[in-house]
Amino acid sequence: MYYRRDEHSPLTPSPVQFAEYVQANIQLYSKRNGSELSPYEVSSFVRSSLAKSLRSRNPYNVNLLLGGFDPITDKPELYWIDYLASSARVPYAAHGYAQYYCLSTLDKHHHPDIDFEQGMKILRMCTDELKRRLPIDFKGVLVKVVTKDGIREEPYEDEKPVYAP
Amino acid sequence: MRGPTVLKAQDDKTRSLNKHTLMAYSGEAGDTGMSDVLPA
Repeated sequence: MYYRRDEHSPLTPSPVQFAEYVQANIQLYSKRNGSELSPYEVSSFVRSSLAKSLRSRNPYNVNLLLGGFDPITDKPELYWIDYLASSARVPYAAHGYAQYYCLSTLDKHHHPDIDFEQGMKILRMCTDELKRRLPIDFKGVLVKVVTKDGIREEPYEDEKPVYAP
Repeated sequence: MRGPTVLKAQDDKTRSLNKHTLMAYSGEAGDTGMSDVLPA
């Protein structure tokens, strides 16, 4: 039994549906083959699912960021997968409206061997920039951290005052 | 910045695919969540 999406639905399926569909299929694949997939393998699985959907009657219109930690090579990995199902490994990324405001900050401050605290400082710069410039009432972010021990939610103070430059 | 549209703050647009992999998704503007944009 393979999890299948409803191909006869007249509506474009939502990104949430795609995420849950891939989530279920990856769990199924791991159960069947008795092995956890590495982040690179997961990225290939997701890319191929999206590529199949792209060539169907009602494709998913979804952009993805895939963050993972490979316990074998002991290295973090990040993949950018767009709605045309192209996948690229990247050092940092942002998507949606946030990318217009955050990528320049990340470009300037990111360095391959920064530690966690420095990463959170850069994230603070990004959210400050969003609060200053995004023409939407920006309420805050949900921060999740992927480490070798698993995935955790990181508390983040959204109400910190933002100073104009 | 204050504006006519307000983004929902506590909306989790990620799914964990296994113990070490997390996927964040986004769709067309204003289309991703069930109720992304709330009236001001």
